Amino acid sequence: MRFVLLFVVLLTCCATYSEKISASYKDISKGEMSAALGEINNALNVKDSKQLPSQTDENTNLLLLERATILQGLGEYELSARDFVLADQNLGWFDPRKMSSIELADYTYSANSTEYRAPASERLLINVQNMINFLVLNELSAAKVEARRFSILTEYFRKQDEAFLPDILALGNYLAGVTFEKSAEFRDAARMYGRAWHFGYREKELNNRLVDLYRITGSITDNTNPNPSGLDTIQTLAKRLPPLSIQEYLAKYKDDVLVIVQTGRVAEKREKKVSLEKQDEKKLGRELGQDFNSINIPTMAKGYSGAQVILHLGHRSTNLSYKSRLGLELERAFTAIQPAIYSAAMSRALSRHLVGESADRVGGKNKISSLIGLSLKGALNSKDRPDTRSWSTSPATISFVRQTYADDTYRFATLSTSQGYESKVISGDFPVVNFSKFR
Amino acid sequence: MSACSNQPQFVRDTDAPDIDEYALSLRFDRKDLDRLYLDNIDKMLSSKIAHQWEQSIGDSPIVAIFPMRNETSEHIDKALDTLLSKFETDLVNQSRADVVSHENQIELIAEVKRQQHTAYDPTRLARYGKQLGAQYFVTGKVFDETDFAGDERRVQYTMFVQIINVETGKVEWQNESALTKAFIR
Repeated sequence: MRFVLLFVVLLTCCATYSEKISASYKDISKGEMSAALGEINNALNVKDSKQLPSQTDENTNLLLLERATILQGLGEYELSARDFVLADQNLGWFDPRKMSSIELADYTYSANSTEYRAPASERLLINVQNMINFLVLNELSAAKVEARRFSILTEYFRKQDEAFLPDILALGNYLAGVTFEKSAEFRDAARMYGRAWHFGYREKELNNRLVDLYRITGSITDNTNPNPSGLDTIQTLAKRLPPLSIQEYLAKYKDDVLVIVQTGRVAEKREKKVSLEKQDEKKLGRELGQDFNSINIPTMAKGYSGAQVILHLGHRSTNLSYKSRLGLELERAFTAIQPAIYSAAMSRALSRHLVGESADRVGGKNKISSLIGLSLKGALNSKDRPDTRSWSTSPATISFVRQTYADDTYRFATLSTSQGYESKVISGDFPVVNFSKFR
Repeated sequence: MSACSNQPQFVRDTDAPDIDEYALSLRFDRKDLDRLYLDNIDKMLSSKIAHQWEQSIGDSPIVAIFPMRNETSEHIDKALDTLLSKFETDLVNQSRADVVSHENQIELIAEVKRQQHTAYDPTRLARYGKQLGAQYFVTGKVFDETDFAGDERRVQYTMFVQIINVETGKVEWQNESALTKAFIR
């Protein structure tokens, strides 16, 4: 009996992940990144961001992702990269298409008690964000590792379904292209840029760059059909032009700068009680022998779309040329699995009821035992809170502009938002500048 | 409250003698490095070029340890540095070569690491060699083949360790090692 009481207590003691760190989400939406960092460090039980947690639990990897995102916003790129690498190495995958309804129900209703597993969009975003870190740091060997990891994952997810994630695939492949281009590995650069084009980034800047890269490398065969995106037209144009030497290419693009701007915050998941559809209500009611008309499921709250931004290169106002709508893609991917979660919730309701019935039978007529049965039902109800964990410090959009920057007098970029402004010096070969503090 | 946290603990190798036996990641750990070291060091020290160093008259040949190229999808650069340091130890203690410390060339090595694509450009290679005062580089490159099946993952590494003549760019000695790591459910 003591064991049963302890079990009831254990089931009800923990605050959910989202409840623990919701303050940091609010801080980010207000542009207060340092405060958000403090919240996450508290949740990790560390004094400062240089420390790694000495004890890990089921949320450690997710908290490291949140901290890495904030550290990047604060310009702490090395620490951010360290956290991303660690989380990436240890993070499990959430792939609902490969889970049975029971497995999905077990995971969805485990609340905080199982190790966090990241969906495809988050897995890909880790490598994108770390490519940004290493590109800003000009650590090309490490950036190439991230580009390769991204590429391997892309192949894996593409075999399953690429339709949900075109924006992140375009963005990630573009950054991989930048990485290999900076490393003077032009065949890989052309291949990655070609994929970015295929997935939807089709600005003139990339068109011209691809023509020139194909003039160096010749056509690149890849496992995408070049016809629908018009990549074949670019290849044909490159064939008509004379070959280009690497020196000519480097001279042409030597004053390029890539400015990345991250805004908003993806939607958090929330627990929501939803009414059952009529036919399900009847079906479940029949099986349970009682009225049953609602279930708790995880849903997405409204995301924070972000502040209006004004970007200046030197004193010139500059428009961002590509906007990767990560928040929308995340919502789309989540909506696609909602029917499976709904079904899983129904099976869960049924099994939960059966456990409760067993507890009643064990309790019999003894008053104390009946109380335990009731408590157990209550505890199971409480445990049946859906998993609302997600990497919610991620930006809702990542935009960028790539352009020639020949003005030697004012080599800096400035981003102004309603939350504040930041100015960053542009330096080095093929410089990459990131803004993600004011969202 | 115990449901909210596990009870992990810190241990040292003398308390848990088999602590180095487990693979905890797909990257290189000490056991992997020991294996790669053993697979290379004897072959390196008994190579034709090392034999020439032993037989040479006059000044000892000057050898520099040059960062390996990481062409894999894993962050193993630091592990590769450790492996090179192990080679360095044996070159210092067991060969006639004078090994140039690159501790004082941190900036140069950082540049090489950043721009490693250019390291194999013969003119650049010669420039780096001159700056380090080296006639030979001990270096290498690592590639991988990665496969997924669900969330299981396998990484097959192939490593090439080389001795390169700085002046000519000629590969004087090369050895190939293979190592596989996997995450299996």
